[in-house]
Amino acid sequence: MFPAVWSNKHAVALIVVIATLLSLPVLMHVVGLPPRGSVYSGIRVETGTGPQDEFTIFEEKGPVDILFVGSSLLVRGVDRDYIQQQLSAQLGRPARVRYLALKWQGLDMQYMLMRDFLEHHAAGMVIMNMPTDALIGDSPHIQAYRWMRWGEFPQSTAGLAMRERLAIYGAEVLGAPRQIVNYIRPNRLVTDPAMVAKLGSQSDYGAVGYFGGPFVPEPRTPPAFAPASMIAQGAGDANFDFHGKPLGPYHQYWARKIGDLVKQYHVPFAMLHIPEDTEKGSITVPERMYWPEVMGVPDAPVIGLPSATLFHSTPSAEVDNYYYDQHFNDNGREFFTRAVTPTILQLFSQEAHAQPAR
Amino acid sequence: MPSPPAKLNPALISALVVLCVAAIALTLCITPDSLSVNLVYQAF
Repeated sequence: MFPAVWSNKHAVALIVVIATLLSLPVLMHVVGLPPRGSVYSGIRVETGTGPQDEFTIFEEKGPVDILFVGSSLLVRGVDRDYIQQQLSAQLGRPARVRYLALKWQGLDMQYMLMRDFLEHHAAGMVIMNMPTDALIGDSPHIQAYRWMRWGEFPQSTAGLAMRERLAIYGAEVLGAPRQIVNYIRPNRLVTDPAMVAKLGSQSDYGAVGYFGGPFVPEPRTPPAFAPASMIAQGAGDANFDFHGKPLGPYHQYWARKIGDLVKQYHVPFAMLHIPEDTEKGSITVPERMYWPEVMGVPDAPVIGLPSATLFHSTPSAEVDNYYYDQHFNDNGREFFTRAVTPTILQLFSQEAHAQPAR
Repeated sequence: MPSPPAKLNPALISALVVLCVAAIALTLCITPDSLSVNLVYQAF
């Protein structure tokens, strides 16, 4: 049989290789990490919005009025340009609305995006979509190995349990070889602004039918709802159900860290529920937990519309035409955004009025 | 093909085993969901 180790020299070589790979995140920190501005564009473009996140955080200058932070549900659920247009009309000046998102859910990811942004820009208001049942497990975000780098924000992970810190370190080991390439050949594979915008909006999904079916254009003007009716009035609000499956300790930790960011930067903060296809007919807005309490920001509003209310004038058989899977296609994105925009604008005028974007 | 070793240093082999166990333990700490999804999308 061919021996696994055939000499002491071979054993030493294997030890050096494995030890180097396992300690690479630490070694890179000691040597000096590549610029953080290149971490998000290291994410494969097929997986979404990394290049746009990098552009919005590290290249674009100046404050924004409203920053949305979330997952792909947010990208496909919020029509940024529409809200920007409406906010511009309300403010009487060009407004700036941006979003930061990555595919798949995870509050560690949302914390990191929000933190990176607020370290470089002022925001008049931050709005986040919170994890749904699509967030399975309680471990680092699927793309964490791209943007978590050892020793970078030590205070951020200091309160995690050893098991969770080991999981993060495992992700960092996985990502370190790719991070090393940044020393030689920085990321920034996508330099075409139009391509960045296209990837960032995931517009390829705009005119796609439900789970591969034909795309059917639907009315995109929703019924009018009173703005205040979309904001939860505490944990017992009859339009909301805050008693879903609780997040595990790992993601609850990051929820608290997001709350800490809100307090540290004194930025007005709200949460927005984006309905998924499985909510069809639901008379309440399903949330896994009562987020203001979990995050330690008791006054933060939660915005949401029960699916049955949003689509009350839409025939049941046609509701699926607003989705391409659990995400909205362009029918749903425009319909939903138009429904919630008055509430967002009202909150902005109340919460962010005293703190204009600098 | 190299000839079988006459004598391997037990300390080196022990160190190698420890490192392999550490690598496996770290791998297990990363959710299998993450790994499988990444493989599907060839995100590596």
